[in-house]
Amino acid sequence: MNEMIERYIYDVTRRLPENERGEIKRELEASITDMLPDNPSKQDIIDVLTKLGAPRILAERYRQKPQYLISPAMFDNYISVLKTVTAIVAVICGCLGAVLALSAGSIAKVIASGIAMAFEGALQTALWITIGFVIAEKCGYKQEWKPEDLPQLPTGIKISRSSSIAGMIMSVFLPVLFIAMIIREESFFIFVRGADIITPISQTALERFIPYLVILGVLGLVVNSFRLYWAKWNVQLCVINAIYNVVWAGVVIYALNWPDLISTEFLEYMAAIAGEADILRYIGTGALTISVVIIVIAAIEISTGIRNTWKSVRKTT
Amino acid sequence: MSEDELLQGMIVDLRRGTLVLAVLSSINQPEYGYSLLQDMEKQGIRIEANTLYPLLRRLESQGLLQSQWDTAESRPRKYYTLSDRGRRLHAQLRDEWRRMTYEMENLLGKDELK
Repeated sequence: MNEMIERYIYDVTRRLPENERGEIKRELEASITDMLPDNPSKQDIIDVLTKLGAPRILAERYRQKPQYLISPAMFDNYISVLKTVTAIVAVICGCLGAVLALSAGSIAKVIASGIAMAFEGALQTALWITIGFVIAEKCGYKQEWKPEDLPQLPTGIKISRSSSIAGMIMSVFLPVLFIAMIIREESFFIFVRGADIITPISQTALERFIPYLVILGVLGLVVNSFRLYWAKWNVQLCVINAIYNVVWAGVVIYALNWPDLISTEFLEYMAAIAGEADILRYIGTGALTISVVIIVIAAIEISTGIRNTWKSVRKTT
Repeated sequence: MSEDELLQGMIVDLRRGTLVLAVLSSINQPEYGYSLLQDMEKQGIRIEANTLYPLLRRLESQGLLQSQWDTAESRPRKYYTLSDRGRRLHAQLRDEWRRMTYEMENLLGKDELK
């Protein structure tokens, strides 16, 4: 047998299941020999092999079942799960990576660790989602379709997926950023008096605020998960949204009233300029103003939620 | 996609559907791959070698064809014949084809073949 023909047959059979290789090899040998004249020239062989076409394509035709990991019917489902879950996990892992590296020293290291963890998390998630879908495919998982399964027409006030995902990302990212700054004592506001750096907010108060930041982050994540899940306003979401807004406004206003919120150095510094009594009054007014602003923002958020829910519910019924 | 490409694609699809019936109809006596290919080409059926050989194997695994190696000659050949199952299915498929072409002809009848 000519070497080129052997190579051709090998290139076809190596792509096929082992138990079929022997027989298909024999068939191909016979068929190719039949297609050639007696004592074929090299050109004859080249012509016949060209006629048979690429070994990859011939092998694919010999294969009984089409080869794919995830069937076309499941593919759009797979892509949408892959995108959403991977994005969320990447952000959470990124924040986690940054937190774990907080004690490592330089900001560059913290950021690098965050990026590395985000990358690794995304890869792992993508891998496992893919494996999950492949296993479902191999097990012959088929979703029985019934007319009752049809989705509702989008009547309610829709919440875009991207805004929910952005919300989830922010709910993790901002608390982590603040906690990182607090732990590293990178102050939010600095006053420079000569060579001294004065931080208006005391470190003890900031550190005491860390658990609240965690709670707010988790709550924000929960609210946005539900926004993503329902994708439109409904009564449950309205209630959860209201609770979230009450909690964060309450927590911040509560913290504003901590007596040790303002650092003693800052108080001393300001007292020297403006007089102690006046300063305390200013701070009181400031806290009150901020509280009012917070209450207004929370109230707007809650009422927007109620209005959207009202519109959604009325449209649906 | 140009009109011609679209048409070629549609013709390929149409032809593909008729291949099994064409192959089953062409095996009246024991045939090996290449002889069948030549017979069919003589009949004007356009089929590629790289389509026919895998198709024969598939029909055999589905129990429509049975095969036997003839190693007596200098060139060993795999001869295919219709199995009982293949004969039954061929008859049914042929009837279905006639029904279908009859219906299609009725549908197309208003236009004369150019």
